[in-house]
Amino acid sequence: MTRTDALRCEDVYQTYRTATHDVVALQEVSVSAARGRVTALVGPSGSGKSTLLRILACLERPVRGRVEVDGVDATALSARGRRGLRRKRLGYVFQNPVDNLLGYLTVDEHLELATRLRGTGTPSSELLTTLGLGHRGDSRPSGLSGGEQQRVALAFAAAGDPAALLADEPTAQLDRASAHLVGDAVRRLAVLGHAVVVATHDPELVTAADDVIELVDGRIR
Amino acid sequence: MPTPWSRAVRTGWRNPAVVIAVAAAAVLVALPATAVALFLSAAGNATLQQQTSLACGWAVGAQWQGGLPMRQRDPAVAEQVGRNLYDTRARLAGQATAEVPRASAPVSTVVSGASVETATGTPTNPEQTVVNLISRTDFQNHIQVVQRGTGPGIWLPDQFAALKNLHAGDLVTVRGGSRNDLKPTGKATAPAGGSTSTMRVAGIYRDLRSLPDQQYWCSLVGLYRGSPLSNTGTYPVALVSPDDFFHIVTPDSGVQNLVESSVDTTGMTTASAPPVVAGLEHVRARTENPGDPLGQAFHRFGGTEYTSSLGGMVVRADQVTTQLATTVVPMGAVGALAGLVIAAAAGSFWVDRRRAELAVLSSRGVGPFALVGKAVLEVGTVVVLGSVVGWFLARYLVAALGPSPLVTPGALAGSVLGAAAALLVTLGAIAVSSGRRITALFDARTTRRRDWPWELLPLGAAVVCYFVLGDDPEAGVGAAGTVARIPPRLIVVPLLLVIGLALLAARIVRFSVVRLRPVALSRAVAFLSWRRLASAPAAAAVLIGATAIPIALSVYATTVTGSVQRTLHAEGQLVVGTDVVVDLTGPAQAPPGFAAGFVERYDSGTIGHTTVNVLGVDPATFTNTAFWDNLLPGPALDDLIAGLTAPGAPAGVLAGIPGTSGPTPVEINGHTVEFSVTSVPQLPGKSAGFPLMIVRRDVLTQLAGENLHHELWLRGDPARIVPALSAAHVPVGTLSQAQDVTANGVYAAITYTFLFLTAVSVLAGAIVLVGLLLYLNSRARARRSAYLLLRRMDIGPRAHWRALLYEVGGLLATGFVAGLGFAAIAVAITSAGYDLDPAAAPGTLIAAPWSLTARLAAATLLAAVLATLAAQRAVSRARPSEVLRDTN
Repeated sequence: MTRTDALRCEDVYQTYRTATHDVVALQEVSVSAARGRVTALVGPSGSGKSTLLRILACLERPVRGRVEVDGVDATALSARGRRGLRRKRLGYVFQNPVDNLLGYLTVDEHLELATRLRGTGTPSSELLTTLGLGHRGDSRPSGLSGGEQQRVALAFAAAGDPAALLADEPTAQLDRASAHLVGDAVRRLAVLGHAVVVATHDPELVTAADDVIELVDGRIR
Repeated sequence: MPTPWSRAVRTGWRNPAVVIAVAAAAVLVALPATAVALFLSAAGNATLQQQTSLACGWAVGAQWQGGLPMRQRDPAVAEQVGRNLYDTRARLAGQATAEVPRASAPVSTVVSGASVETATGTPTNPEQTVVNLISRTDFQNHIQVVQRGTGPGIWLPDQFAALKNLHAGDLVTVRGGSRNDLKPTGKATAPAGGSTSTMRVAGIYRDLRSLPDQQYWCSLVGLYRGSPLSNTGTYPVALVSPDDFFHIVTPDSGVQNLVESSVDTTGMTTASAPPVVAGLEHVRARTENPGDPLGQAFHRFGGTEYTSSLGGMVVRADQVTTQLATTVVPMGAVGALAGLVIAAAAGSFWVDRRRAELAVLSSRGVGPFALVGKAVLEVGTVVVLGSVVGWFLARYLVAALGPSPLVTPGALAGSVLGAAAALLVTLGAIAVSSGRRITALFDARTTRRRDWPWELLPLGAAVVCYFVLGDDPEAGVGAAGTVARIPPRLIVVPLLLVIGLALLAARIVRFSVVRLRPVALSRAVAFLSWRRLASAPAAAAVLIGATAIPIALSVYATTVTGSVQRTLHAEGQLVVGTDVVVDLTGPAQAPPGFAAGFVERYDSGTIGHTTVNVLGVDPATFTNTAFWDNLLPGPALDDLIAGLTAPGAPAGVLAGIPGTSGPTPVEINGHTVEFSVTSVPQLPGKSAGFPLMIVRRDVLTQLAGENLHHELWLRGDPARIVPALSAAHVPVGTLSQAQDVTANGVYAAITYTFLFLTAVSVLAGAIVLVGLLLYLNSRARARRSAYLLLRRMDIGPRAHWRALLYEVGGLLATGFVAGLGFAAIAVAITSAGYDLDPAAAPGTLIAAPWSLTARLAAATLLAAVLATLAAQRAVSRARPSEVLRDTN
């Protein structure tokens, strides 16, 4: 792990159980993501992108392997410890814009919630401005377009200055113009010093990424 | 507090489905939890009210009963006797009972024997002159006057007056004395020692024996009606004023004195009764204190006994409550636990409905405890509301459908505490289940826990309880004092057994439904139904198990209640023979409107050295009037009685001497006749318990001659039969009722126990219904998407509804059949214990609840149809654009 690596995993192995058999989702996967860079995870559906993203985000624990977040061995931590990492050092964005936001909070309240959870004081209004949402502070999610919702989700994830942001196909449900704006927002967040990891099929987002990791059948190609 | 928590109370009310699920869960937990205290109190109060209503009102209050000295024992000691003592006792009793809450003014009665004869002309029916001479306060307002004269005198019953050809205004001679002295001598003159008065007949009243018993006369019923099942004769009642009474009776006459005060038991509860009991017991203490004027008047002079049954009734009511508590509390706990299952499901449902938000918060590192806190804040006010509704519902249901609308203030307070506990437990269940669900969704373990067959635990507990809760394997419904009780084993074992079997069945279903591949699923609808079941095996298993439990419990409860009553009924009917048996004192016509038949009884027959009661019956009518239950062992009564008319030697059917059959010599009235005897275990009419033989009436009449008791057997409601006998002028000697045989026990505990179990079963049924709706709702999104796809595959709304019906109806039907099976197993294991009196024949008779089973089947079918129609209606309204936005 280099000094600027915010995320890193080594030899990660993950399986899922169905009613009748086990499914191997990841095998011997080792990746890292540095601050200030955008890393794209690509690969066909079912290749293990989302699983890897969830493991890096400490939402899942691998069967084997080691995951480090900002130098901390997440696999050695308890569930409580992993929650602490998620709260202080990680941000996560789901694929569906609606799923990323609380319907009864305004944009500003989302950022306030994020900073209160991280314990980092009042939120910075610059973040919204940087992401082109400076005029949307009082809006609720229902009053935002899909692209705006997804950018607010990125702001919500980035508020409180986490080490890494992880986004699972953030442009999958957006039109091209909105996807472009989201891709732009992702770049801007990397410039702010976050390590950004994005699982995506979006060629524009892949092109904009600094590093690209391709997964096939749970292995890195 | 961050906004998701600070706004939780408001946001909690924004999801109607969650609000309904949580409120229903809270109601279902609070209902049994609060109903227990209310039900126990209502049962105790109902038992008290039942006892007081069945008992003689005077006996419930204060009753002094004993002799009234007519002459001084020691001339040197100044003692009150006769009329003076009578007046003093009435006065002192009035003063004493005035201090007892709810007590009435006392009524004084004096009873002695007398003979009444026409004062002029030839004596009529000289062998029937003895009467009970009675003076009782205010008696004229409590008789049915047939004929009224113009002045004072003696009141005679109409049957006696008819025998004597007496009318109001006639002169009679009344001679006092003890009844033994007054027995007929064959002469019309009075024996030595009697005092004879000539007086006018003041009126003729309807004989008390020919009327239904009245509260006013109830303490004298034994005097004028005789004892049930006894052939001892009774005397008519002649009524006079106290002045006339003391004028007629002699110093040597045995005079019984009764002073009694009733208490008003209207609305009396186990809480309001104790002050009355205390007052009555204070009167008792004064009566038994020789230094107290009351004690001197009653106890010292004449040895009068003071009795009051209210205290005993309160004790029995408390015993019923205590007995009930051992069974009702576990049942209430089971009901509340079943409600907690819904509470847990509601917690899980909340997580599913808040999944997106919880995923966001969880991804931000918010832990399960904080999320559970949000759940509790969101549903807290809903749970409070549900608990309050549950309390009101319990209060209403117990008042409307329970044993009594009367509950004590203590029970009300207890039920409020129960509601508070239910509220906390419901919140706890929601917290635990939502916490588990949150952990499973957002903090999942990668290793799977071992899945132990923990369903065997309740089954093992049932086996342990079966042996621990009753050493005697035959131990069943018994009695604590006079209070019948249900041993906990008859409740706890079936509860554990049914729950264990249901859980086991659920596991088997869950295991097998994903592995079974039915071969005959060529139709798309059936295939669709089966695949839906197989895709959610846990939900299917839970629904089957949850359906089976209330079905099994309600069928079991009804079977036990019915069987106890059927057995009790059979025991009484076998002793008496039918509903009412009248021992006739003369020729009679059967009253119209009832199945009736005349039977002759000879009570001194012998077979070998064994005394046998012999009944002479008319084969054409006997089976219509006599009791029989087809579950009784041996051939049917119809076949047995038909055999009496067979040609050849006279035939007889014998019960009570096992092994005696074929040609058997029977001695009747000095004649020894060989009967062709058929031996059976039971026959109706065994009366005092001697072996009983039934023969043709003409055969018995020919052999026994005049030494027979003539009986009239009637089937029907005794409350209707008694007035009908009076209207038909049937000369009643004694009257035996089957219901009197088992009337001494207090069976309320049994009835109430199974009433409560039935209520718990109904509650469990409601829980299943809520569970079914949650099941359907939880899969609504998937069903909507599937429905739109299926429409494109040319599966129409009707076909889709049929698939839903097969899916839900199949689950409910399987649960229904399983429930019936579980109930049958529970009954088979415990049936020996349903006999209140194991020493009495015929043993347990099982009453299969066919009617209930049919109603439950209809309810199950209705639930399946309505629930699936509602679900189909919901998917039919789905818009493709909305469905495409659904991602879960």
